[in-house]
Amino acid sequence: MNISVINSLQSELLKTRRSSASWIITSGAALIPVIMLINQLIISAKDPLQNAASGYWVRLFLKSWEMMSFFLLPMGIVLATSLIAQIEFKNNAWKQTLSTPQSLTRVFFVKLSVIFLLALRFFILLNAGIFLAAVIPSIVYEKVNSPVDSFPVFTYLKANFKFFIDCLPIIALQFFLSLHFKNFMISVGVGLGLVVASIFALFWEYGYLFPYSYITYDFMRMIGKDRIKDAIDIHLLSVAYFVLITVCSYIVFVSKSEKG
Amino acid sequence: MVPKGSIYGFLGPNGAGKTTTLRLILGLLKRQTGSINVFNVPFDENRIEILNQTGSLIESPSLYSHLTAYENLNVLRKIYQCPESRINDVLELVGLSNTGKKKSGLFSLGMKQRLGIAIALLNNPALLILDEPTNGLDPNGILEIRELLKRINAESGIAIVISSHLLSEIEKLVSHVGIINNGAMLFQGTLSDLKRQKLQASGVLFKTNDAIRSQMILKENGIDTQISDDSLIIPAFEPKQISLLNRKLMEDGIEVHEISPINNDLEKIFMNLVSN
Repeated sequence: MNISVINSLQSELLKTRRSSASWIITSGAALIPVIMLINQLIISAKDPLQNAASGYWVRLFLKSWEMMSFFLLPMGIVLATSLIAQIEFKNNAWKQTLSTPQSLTRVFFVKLSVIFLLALRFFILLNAGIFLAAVIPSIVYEKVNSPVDSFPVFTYLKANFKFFIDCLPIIALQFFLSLHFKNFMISVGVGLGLVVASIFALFWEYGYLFPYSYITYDFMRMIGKDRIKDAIDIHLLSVAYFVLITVCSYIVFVSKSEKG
Repeated sequence: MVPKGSIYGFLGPNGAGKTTTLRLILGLLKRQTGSINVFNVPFDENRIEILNQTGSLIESPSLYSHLTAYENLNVLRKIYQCPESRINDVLELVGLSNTGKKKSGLFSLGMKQRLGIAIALLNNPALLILDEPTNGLDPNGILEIRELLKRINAESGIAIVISSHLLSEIEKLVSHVGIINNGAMLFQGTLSDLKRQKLQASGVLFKTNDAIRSQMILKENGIDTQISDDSLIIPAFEPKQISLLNRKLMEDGIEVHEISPINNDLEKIFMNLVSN
């Protein structure tokens, strides 16, 4: 990797410092663990042995993702992705960014990489939060022991990776919208509409064609309530949608006659 | 054509095409025809090399309002790969070294403009492009920016292109002038060229009791004149020559009622150029 690509990435990351997108990622990742922690504290007070049961970590993970997969994660991506491009529009800074000595291709892909890095931060914070929600009750209450099962790192990594792949088409489409519409409400409005529509898509025979539902489909498959045929690989579809939308978005971005 | 080390005033009324031209030079607009050469090389083939040596402030400054002045500069320092000490240098140069943790969104308009200039200077450019940098500033702010630009040009020899719709505003700053209207260049040259035009456009008005006879007398003495509103307009001469002409007219029986200078200032010439 060229050193200046790393510098471009660092520059873009600096822009997100204390930004709304950054706050949404942090607070969004903390929300469910905080709820889970309160829940665990209440349950542990009544039943100190509840975390001694086998499969505790997986149950905790699925419980956390129950709320996250249906609405919170897709909505969080819609907001955070839209806010990343909005940093330039809001501060009237596209003209400055596009008159720096970087190719348009680099500007496009570095911005996209920043969204990936923010998503990665979200997943790390969320899992750390889930871990703490499980461990803190044993610190608070003397009679509660730490979970008996060891932390299933590989299971968590695998599930998180699948959810990340499910997020890709949402990231791509929201990035496309937020790059091309100065008005923040357009990308957020369209995103919100598609998130709501994704819930209805779950009841449709061909709902798997609707990329905003993939996180929920994956979650339902994990809990054994699969709504689509096994032969349909939503991860493959997700990557295909991502590539297609990103290519279109890139072409539109570099061929714009008026930049900034 | 902007000569090396010059301060080039790019003038034109609102909507003349100044910002469009500057955006074209920076590659922010796709050109439809023609070609753009910067540092004597075509822009399209050398975009990155050219932008590496160019600093710009187009319209309002591009500042990340949630970041401090230092952080705003650091965002661009990463791209230009200049040493961190350069941030303090430019902050000091524009008088913003004491802003500390104050976010740029809380800056006054003048401070924002100065930070915008600091950003444009960060990479130590050979060419600085400023689009109406004094817009919205109070007279003191305008003076501050003018002095700052003069100092930068004198100390670093950076060529500065500064656009404005007011000639009077940049008259004391620039060495070269380009005047644009409706997308066409009307004048391009040094400020002294423009001043020469001013001299040519100036004249002396003679009010006499007989303008036609006065014109004939002066023509016999090899001086071309114009008659306007029963007055005679002659080219600008030295005061000594004016008194000689006055004496000549009086000797020929002409009553001279008034002699007054016609002062076409630069602003008037600019207005004449754009209105023609």
